[in-house]
Amino acid sequence: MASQSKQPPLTRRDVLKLLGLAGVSSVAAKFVVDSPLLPFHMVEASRDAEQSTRPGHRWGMVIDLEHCTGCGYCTNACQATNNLPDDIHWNVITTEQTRNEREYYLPRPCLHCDNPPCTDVCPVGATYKRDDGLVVMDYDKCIGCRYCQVACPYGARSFNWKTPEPGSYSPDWGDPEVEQRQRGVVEKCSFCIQRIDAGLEAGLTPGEDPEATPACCNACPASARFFGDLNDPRSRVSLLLQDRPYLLLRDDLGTASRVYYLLPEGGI
Amino acid sequence: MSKQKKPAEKKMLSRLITPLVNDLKERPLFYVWIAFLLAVFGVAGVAAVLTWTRGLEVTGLSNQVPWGLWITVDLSAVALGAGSFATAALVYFLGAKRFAPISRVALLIGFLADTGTGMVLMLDLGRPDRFYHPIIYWNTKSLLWIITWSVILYISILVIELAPALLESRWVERWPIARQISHQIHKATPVVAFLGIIISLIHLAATGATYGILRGRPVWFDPAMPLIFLVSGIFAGLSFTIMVIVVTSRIMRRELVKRRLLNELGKITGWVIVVCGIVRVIDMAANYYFSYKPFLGESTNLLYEMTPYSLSLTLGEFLFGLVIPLIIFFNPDLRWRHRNLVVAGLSTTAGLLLCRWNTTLSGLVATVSYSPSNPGVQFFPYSPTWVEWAAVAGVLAYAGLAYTLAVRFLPIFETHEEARIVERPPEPAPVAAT
Repeated sequence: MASQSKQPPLTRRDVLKLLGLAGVSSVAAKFVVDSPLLPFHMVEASRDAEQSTRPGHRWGMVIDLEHCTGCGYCTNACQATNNLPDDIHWNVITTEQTRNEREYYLPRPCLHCDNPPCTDVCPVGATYKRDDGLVVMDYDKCIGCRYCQVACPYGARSFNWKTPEPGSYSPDWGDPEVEQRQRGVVEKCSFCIQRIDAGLEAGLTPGEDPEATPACCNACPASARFFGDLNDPRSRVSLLLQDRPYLLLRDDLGTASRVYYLLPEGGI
Repeated sequence: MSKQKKPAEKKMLSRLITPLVNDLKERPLFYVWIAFLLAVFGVAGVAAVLTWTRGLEVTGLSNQVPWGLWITVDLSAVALGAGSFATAALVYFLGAKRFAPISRVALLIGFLADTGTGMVLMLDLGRPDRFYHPIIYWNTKSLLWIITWSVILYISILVIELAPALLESRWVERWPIARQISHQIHKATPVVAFLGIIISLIHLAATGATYGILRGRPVWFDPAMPLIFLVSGIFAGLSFTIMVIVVTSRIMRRELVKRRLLNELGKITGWVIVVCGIVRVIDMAANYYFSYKPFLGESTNLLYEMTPYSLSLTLGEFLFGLVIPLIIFFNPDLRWRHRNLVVAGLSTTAGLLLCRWNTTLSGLVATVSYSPSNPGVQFFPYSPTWVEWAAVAGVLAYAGLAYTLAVRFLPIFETHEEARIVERPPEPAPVAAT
């Protein structure tokens, strides 16, 4: 190796060095592009949003503010089905007033944003957006730093400040379908992911078959709450959105939430 | 066998105890101070056990205000420890080798600050048993992930940089290999210090970006946030380091660092404060005057109304953080006196704490509602419980304890190797000093 006195144009070592350099720099480039300190990932996020027109499911919810009576059945069913302690609510109903001083009720589950502010901030990737658009939690990864809670503009996330106690809504409002979360993790509405996944496996259609539909939509007595595939033009939710004007909560933040609110008569 | 051992044991014990008793007689205050710190640490231990057994319900935090005193202390500690990388930058990057005698104590403060941050985080996390998750589960987009990695890497670097202090101490003098290792580390120090500077810069800026990227919170959402946190951290860290050196010199009744050097460092700190002030004023003008950010004005008004935000902003960030230290650091007569350097250090520290406290809470206690009909800002109160205060006191006690013991028993100020750097004749190609 050492006897090469004349300098050849390229030795094997040089090639290996170059390859190594290329590898290191591509890793570094990937790292830089992924980093939140640079604007590139915003470009990526918008690309993600465009991709949502691709085939496959895109789950969404439609809530009719005209029909909602504020009875709270959706919350009760949610508490029972998702095995929530009485001091944590995934679905919250507030009373609002229109400009004409007319009262209406605003139920708020997790909005499962298309461009969620909560997922990018999680230091361990315990919350992330699935391909079908659901923003899900991995309770076994969560370290309880509560950054996602701070980042969520809708207050849709709850932290388990203490060891959760069994809730009082079951069995009157349904049977618990999931385990209770541990103390010290953040939890939120999952669009009843257990029903969607099990239903699809059993060949059911979420949004049409009650077994595969979120408990809140099944429980609504005023037919104000619908669930379905936004990518399917013939689904109930798609048809409703074609017919009536709707709004998205805090749309100015660019979260592109997937809970659509049909406006009450006379607007808000 | 046992009969033979007994006198030997006794001898050993007396060999250990007699100097201790003599030392106790010689300087009782040292032991009172240590006992006090241990007592505080004990109370904090109770608080920690309470937090781990009962969960975070023992704090004053809520779902609306999920971050509070502990995060504030984390961020402040990171900033107050920034003197370590600032002096390292002066010594190894800007070629001001004369500051080398300060670098080791600055590194020690940085080490205590970052380990203290880690301790607070172990309480603040809902699942402290999963503290290692950011190491194995990566989300490179997350600023908290970046901060976690910065803390880990920077603590490792500080351990390497501080190892000579341990290896040169009289405890390991009998093994010559310790000296050799220490010498090798010294040779590698410029490279290690350079890495430390980079990681520290990322670390400090990321603490600001943690808030700055959150679009849902108008008080925070600000591209200047990382810069403000970086610059304010540098001057507060430098000023804090100066203060610690002055106070330590006073207690030990020795001139640990040349007065001229502290004086010069004070002047540099003053210039960093000027930069920070300019950035802060431009940022405020950009946010409140030259642009419109939805709900920013409403949030600020609500904060003025419901909290002493206006007072803590003007008093804390401007009077304590800018005006008082600027007057001291830019007046040659004032900054020559050690007492004034302590005043400046206390003032910037108070300003920095208030700044971090304001930042952390302003975005949380004034939250923009999602209501489509009545968009507005809601107020959520927060006040820390005794558990939170006790834990903070415990971390301060830990830092005080470790610092006291290190200064007494390790060569923190008597740095022979670094003294040699200063005395060495100028290198053939000297780096231009600023």
